[in-house]
Amino acid sequence: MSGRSIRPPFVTSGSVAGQAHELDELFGRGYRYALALCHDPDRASDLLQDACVSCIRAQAPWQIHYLFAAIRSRFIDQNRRQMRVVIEPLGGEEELSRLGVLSDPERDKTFEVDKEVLRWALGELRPEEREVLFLGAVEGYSAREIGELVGRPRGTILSMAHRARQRMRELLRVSAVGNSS
Amino acid sequence: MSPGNLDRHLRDHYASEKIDPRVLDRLRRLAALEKAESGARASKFLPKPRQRRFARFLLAAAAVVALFLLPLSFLDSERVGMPGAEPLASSILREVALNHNKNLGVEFPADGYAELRQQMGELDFSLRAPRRVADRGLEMIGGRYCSIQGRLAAQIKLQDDGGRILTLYQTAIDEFFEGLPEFMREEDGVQIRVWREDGLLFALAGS
Repeated sequence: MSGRSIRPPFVTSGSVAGQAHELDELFGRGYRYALALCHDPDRASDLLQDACVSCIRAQAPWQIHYLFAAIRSRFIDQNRRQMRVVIEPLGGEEELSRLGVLSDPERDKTFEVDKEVLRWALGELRPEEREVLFLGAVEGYSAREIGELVGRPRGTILSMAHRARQRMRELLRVSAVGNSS
Repeated sequence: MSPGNLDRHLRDHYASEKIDPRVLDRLRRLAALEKAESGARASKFLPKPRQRRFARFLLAAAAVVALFLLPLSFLDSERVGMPGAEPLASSILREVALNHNKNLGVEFPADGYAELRQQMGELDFSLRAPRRVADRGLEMIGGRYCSIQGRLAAQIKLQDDGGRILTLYQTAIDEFFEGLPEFMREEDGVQIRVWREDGLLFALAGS
């Protein structure tokens, strides 16, 4: 999978106003990543603030990959049991990659999704599954980039994304059936 | 919601999730203060000419604010030393001030340390009533888990007889905190006192 990215990494601009805007965007992205991990707005705010303090203490530059890594590290510290799930690859990397498990618009086209239903379905996933979906679908990370962030092989990331998508489809399907009956 | 693919729904969903403006404001101030305090790091952050002017402005503003606020010592008349530019102390101050200003509700309502100790069983130390503030007549509301410098800690919400909310932080002292002086200082509108007792690090914050 290529290293495509929907959004660029945080790069400081030449003006104080531009810099403030970029910093806000950095914090916004950090917040959404934290939310993807913990699925709770208050905890996501806590996680982001803790991570920012951690970045400052480590004298890390204000860049998204540092912030993501700090958020993830803090989250793991707080949720070791949840994040210890081992997910084995389903099959060959090439096959999974060819299936487009990180981005699969055609297979999902049939879903009508209510926002609250989507929120509920995301809450049913494990943090690692939400994380992979978020990084792939929202941040535009490749499987390799996600693997570098979370410290897992690319094949495992593809498997996790595949399972997460399957689970989301099942949950949304169940919800759709429930609503129509 | 109209038909569409899962990725688009996920993007829409997360795009609609906005950071709390109060949290964002705190993070901006945290970043600005940090830049003002660290000339070395500031070079990675601000354009050179404006950076220096902005940092000087922030330092001057902080000095003026400190001149007005330092005499407002409500925690105790005793001052136990200042951390100066000690980076660990400054970092703890910022973290405690942030946690205090979040004003989050308690996860474990309790009116005494014994009850709270039972509820917060995940702590790797035993919660204690600090002797240093034993005579303050503080009433416990409850506690929640938090962290100080990445160490598991407890945030205990207290109320004084005037109805003011204070937050007390406790964590175990390890080698990371060695050399940390006891001190009291103002940070982000919060008066914070940090001290040690019986192998625990305490911080009391109030605004």
